[in-house]
Amino acid sequence: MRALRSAAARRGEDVPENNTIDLVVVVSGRPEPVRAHPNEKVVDVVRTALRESGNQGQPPENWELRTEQGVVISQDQTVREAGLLSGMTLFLNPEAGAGG
Amino acid sequence: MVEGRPQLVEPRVSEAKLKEQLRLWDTNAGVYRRRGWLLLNVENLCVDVAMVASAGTTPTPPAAAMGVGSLPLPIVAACFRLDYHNFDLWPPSLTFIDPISGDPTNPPTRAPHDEHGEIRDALIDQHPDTGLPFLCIRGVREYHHHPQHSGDDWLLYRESGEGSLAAICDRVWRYMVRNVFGIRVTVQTMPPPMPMQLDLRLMQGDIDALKNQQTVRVVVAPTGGA
Repeated sequence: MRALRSAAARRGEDVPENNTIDLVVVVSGRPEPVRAHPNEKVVDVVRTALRESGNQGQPPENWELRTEQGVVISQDQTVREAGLLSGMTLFLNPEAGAGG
Repeated sequence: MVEGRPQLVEPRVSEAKLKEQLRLWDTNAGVYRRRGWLLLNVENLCVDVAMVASAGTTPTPPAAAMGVGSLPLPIVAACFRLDYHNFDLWPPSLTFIDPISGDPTNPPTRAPHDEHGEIRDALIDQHPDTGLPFLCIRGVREYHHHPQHSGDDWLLYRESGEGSLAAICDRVWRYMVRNVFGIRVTVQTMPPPMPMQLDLRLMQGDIDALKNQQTVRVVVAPTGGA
């Protein structure tokens, strides 16, 4: 498994790594491990998951992040505010486009 | 032409891509099972999936919304076949099927979803090509091959995984299964010798709003589906 760094650490911010949490973000069915800091925005978690899954450059707002139970997680809040905990599996899928 | 469709992709290519989708399914199989997703059959580039809604297996509905006594009552709220022929030059085709016979049928639920504050139904009664009910969402062949969506080409979305087994199942689940929260039962007595009439319909609505005690617009699937 590749080394994980939170988005805050990648930006060069001084983040104690022992404060980070490890998530699994399932991007269109493909699981991607993502390390996140409680203070970083969920949108950064989404960006990381998109990049690692080969969807680099895709706007996060075109994707929906949901819990196992299917509840939408707002990308504007922090990881802590969203109640994300280490070991959680989240699901990231393209925002549904429907006719009808 | 094979079975009425042109063969545009070598079947071995589509098989390899589907095999990868199924491998990914296995990695998340535990979560999918808890969501009530059941893989019924994989054969000839087709995948049959049943989705069960119940107070016991669907994580979010209010407890005991559907039950027999104190036991949950599992209901196959959606069962469908995804056809991966010509994948991924074409997106998969989605057909609602009977979970026992595998024959095409109408689903017992609708596909209501909120679109900018307006409730719309993504389940359309008749596709011009097949005459069958279809789910009008991106990533599904019936959507992209519909004349009204000729300007929304599949190839614009192929790379983002819109047509992946997981993404399509996620949408069917959210539109047609996760939002099932109860059954409406109507009993009508008739003068003899006419039999009593019993009508069961699944009720759907915004589960998250229900949990937050918000007002919810309820959709009741008509008898016989679409």
